[in-house]
Amino acid sequence: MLLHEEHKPYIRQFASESFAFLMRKAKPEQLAATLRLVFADAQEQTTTDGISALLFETVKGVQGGFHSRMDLFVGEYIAALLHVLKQSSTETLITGTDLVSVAWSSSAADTLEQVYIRIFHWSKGSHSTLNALTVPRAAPNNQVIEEMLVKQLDACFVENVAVDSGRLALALRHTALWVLAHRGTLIFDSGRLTDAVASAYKRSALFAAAESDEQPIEQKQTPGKKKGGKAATHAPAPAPVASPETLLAQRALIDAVGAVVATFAPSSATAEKRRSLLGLALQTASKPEPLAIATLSLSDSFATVEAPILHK
Amino acid sequence: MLTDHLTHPSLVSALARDLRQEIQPCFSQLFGMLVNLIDPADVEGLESVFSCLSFLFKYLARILVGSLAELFQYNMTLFYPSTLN
Repeated sequence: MLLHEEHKPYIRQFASESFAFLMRKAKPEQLAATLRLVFADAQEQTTTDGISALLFETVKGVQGGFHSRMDLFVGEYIAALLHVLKQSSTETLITGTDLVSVAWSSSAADTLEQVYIRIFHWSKGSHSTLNALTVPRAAPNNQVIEEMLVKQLDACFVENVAVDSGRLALALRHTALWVLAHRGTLIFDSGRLTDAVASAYKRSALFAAAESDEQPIEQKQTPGKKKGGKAATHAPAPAPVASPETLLAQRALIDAVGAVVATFAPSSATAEKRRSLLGLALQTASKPEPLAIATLSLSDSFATVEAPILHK
Repeated sequence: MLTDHLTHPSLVSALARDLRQEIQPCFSQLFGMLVNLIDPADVEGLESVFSCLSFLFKYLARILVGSLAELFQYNMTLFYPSTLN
């Protein structure tokens, strides 16, 4: 196929541009069916570049902007990827923690991450982003990206429906990617992202076992999300053996919190903000953590976080 | 057969514009023909192939979108290295 690596990069580029035109015209059900095929093919490493180009071209707009229905498209990407991952894991009968590494390192998941990275680059190219933290008005396209990320996180929490851990894991993973991209210089609204991750932490109840005896610090920041927090505590206690998706989501949650804390804490303007960020980090770290590696990544971020806090 | 006589991509897109949905039955054939014309060394040929492809997609968008999944799969299977040559 034209998106295959054996073809020259510009041929893949032309092919993805022309086919993306049709993708944009597709109706939702046609799009979903096509994307399942797309991600099924993305499982081969040789197609990662071409397919991520195709998916990016589909949401690309002009002058660093994006298609107005980008969040819808990306939601479909995630759904299709999850469908393909689920299918391949039942075929190969992988269970438990093995799935964690397999799913994250699969070419299909990598393809979607490449799409995000292309999106980030596209938005970056349109303007100077050196002072995006202090001059947020310089980055309208970055705001669109953050809106989209927050929407993907919110989409994981449907009232009266159990949280889709796989979806949450992906959404958190992509949020962390954005937060860490270019050392956080592209961030438009750090408070919004912090709130989104904090509320995902509350609402997912991934660490519900140790939840009850603690005073949630980040709730101060998100008074509007109280209802979601309550629903989370009513969720059934996690099964003794966590499902692979839950492990994935826990890992992703810790990564996302680590990314948010490490990126935002040193530059946070007020001491109060810094304290609440650190509170969020400590809360996550104090949970009975099934994945020892994950805490390691968190301690990395502490190293960068604590120093400026203690010295000021 | 019609496709035997279409050697220049710009003619194909002009024809597609006139025929619209009536060209659909031989679209896959046309597509295969166009892709066979791709030659990385021939810059102008490359340009005409892809502009033709874009025009085809543009004129026939409404028809092609209905079979988007098939179209994608067709693209994939036809040009894997094993089936190339």
